[in-house]
Amino acid sequence: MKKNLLFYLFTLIIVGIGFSFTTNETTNPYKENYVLKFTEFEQSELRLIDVINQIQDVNTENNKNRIKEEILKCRFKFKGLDFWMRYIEPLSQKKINGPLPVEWETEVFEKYEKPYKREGAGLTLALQYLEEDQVDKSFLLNLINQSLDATKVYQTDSIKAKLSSYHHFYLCNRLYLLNLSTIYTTGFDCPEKENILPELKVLLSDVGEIYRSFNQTFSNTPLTQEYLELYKKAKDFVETQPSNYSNFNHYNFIRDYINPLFAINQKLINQYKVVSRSFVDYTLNKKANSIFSKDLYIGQDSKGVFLRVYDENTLAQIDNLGKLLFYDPILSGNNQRSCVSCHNPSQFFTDTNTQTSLQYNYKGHLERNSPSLINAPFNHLLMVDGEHFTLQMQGKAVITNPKEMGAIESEVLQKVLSCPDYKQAFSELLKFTPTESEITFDHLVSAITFYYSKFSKHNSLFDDAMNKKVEVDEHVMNGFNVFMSKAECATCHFAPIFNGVKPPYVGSEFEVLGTPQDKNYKKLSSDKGRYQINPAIETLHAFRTGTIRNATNTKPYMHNGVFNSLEEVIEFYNGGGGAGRGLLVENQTLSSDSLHLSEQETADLIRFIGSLSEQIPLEKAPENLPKSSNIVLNKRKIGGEY
Amino acid sequence: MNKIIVVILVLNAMLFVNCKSVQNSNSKENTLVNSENKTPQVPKREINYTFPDDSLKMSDSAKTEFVKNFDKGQILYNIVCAKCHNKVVDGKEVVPDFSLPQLMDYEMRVQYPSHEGRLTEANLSVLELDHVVDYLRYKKKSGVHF
Repeated sequence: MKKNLLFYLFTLIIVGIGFSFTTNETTNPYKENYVLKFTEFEQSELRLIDVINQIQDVNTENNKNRIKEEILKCRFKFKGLDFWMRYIEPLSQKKINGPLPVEWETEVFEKYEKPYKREGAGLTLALQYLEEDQVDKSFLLNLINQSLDATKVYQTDSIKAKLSSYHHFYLCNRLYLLNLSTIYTTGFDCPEKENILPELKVLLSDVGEIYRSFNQTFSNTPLTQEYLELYKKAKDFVETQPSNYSNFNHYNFIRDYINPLFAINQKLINQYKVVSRSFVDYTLNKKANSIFSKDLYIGQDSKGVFLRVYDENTLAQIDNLGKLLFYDPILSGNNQRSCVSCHNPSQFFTDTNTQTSLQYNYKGHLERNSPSLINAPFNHLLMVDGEHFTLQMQGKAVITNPKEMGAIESEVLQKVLSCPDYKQAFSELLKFTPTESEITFDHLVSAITFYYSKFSKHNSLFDDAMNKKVEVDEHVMNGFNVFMSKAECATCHFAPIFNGVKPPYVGSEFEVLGTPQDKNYKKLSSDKGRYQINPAIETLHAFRTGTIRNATNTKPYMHNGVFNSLEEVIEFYNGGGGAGRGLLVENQTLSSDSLHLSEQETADLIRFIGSLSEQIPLEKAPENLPKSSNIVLNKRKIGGEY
Repeated sequence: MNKIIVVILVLNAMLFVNCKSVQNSNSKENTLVNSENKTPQVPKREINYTFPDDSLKMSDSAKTEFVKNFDKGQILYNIVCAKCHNKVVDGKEVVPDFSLPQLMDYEMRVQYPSHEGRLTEANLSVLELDHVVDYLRYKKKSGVHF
């Protein structure tokens, strides 16, 4: 009897435990949807592998088409999963649908580490591989198998555990909305143009399902009705659009739907006190309420050693010192050259008069064009080869470069401190830099970077239009639509800065364009670019993607200033870069095919670029520079001589 | 019991080189600025640093350079971290001992939700975080765990 009772109790406990597990599972429809979608995708990958295995000769046209068809089916299954993949485990995503076979990356949180070589695999690369004349079956299978292995990562317990709380969801969603405004409508991860809009529709609808299952599961922290209604309108809007992505109205899609959805999502992130534990969110600002705002992500810190100074009067003092130093040729070896020599504040902090500036010794010109300093703080790596990772390092390197300002660190400091005004002002600031007992070169450079960075805070007409403060004419809108589609600009220049920093804004991208040495296209520019910093096959002649903001005002263009007008630049891209003009550029990342842009499209594109010019306040040179105790130095000219 | 402790202390002293930090007690330097900008007085304590065994081969000048950076780390720790991390033991404020896995460089910025908005690059730069981590690794142990 006792035994029976014990047995009865024992079974009751076992059943109870089992039951509690099943109820746990059924109360998380969000997780169920996740598991179901990933399982379906895995099955479609397995089917694709089966199809390839059954085909004897993968090189016949028919068989290639059969495989392509199956890959596209897989991609449709994959599309909605991107919502989770890019946030939860972005490295595995690159094995499933990576856009490039090899990418070199240094992400912002790894600044001290060497760039990593990351190899892509998966569906898009398999599709591209099928375009080659001789396709090797085992290589093709390897691309797909890597994708299958990476998919399994998302089914591991450690990753699925994240689905039990709501936090990751709003951060996934933020990245999703940022990607909707930068990559999903441009063909960035979908090179076959005809599939961009069909895939976009699947994506919007799959994510709609994710939203439903999320709200069922996390009813205390749901997506609001306001959000869901606007999301439905965005989906409806896409349905009304023509099927060709070049005629898709990117302007209205982003302005009227995606950006407002982003604002609501940011509001919910704050309201629900969403906590991040991911490097994906490293630079993103929770307080930003528009994608088209300068506070969306943090690039560089402009304050340097004055990092923790918040007092406005003190900051004004630092700014004033920075301005004086910016115009002061005392920073150069020969006291004849200042920052202004190459970064003229009245020319958008660049030199629009010359292809490249004179060398320090007056003999010959520098290899590279002076970039505008405006918006430089929105790059994680500075210089076109990404040599430096702080503004202050960059500033020091220019001052001490024998070809640029030709100074020696200790001498500069000595000369600056020979001016009582400088000495007194910096001495007063010492109390704000408790780790330093005396004035250092870092103090000088930090004041300079703080000064010029304030010119990066201004908005453009286009920002105001995207934030619904003003209207722009149809040429600007058309120009933006061409930019996002047919002209393929947006596959490298990402909103909001329109440089190479793409969501989640933790790295700078480099591209090989085949920029010629001169306009005759006889020779490739000899500048090795990124290769000088990180030598690899892929980085030879690669340059960091610059911003398009203020481009109208910052000629000449490209790393060597070879083009003098925006028309020339667009013509260069329209003709397929260097490779499109017959130069041998084996690793060119730009397509060598013509873009077939019409005259009207080019003109609209230039109008759009014009709308990205910012309202930069007029800057006047200081009236005097501080006097030095060394009278020879008092002959120096404000702004320098050349 | 006391004898054992004495032996351990002597052994410790033999095994490790305790470097006294080169500190300037200049009052001007002691005035630090915190994030609320109220310029409170953050007292600088005298701290010994514990170099590992093989540092016996390290030159004195190299050690001085390290100590300079440790000192910077200590100052920065006091400004940015101490408020939340220091513990009061017997009425005295103590810098706790962090374990090596806790001192993870940039991962610390996102690994702990309480660091959000606090241990950002806007509050402590990449270079400065290195100084803080080095200081916490090599400071003399206080015996108080975090």
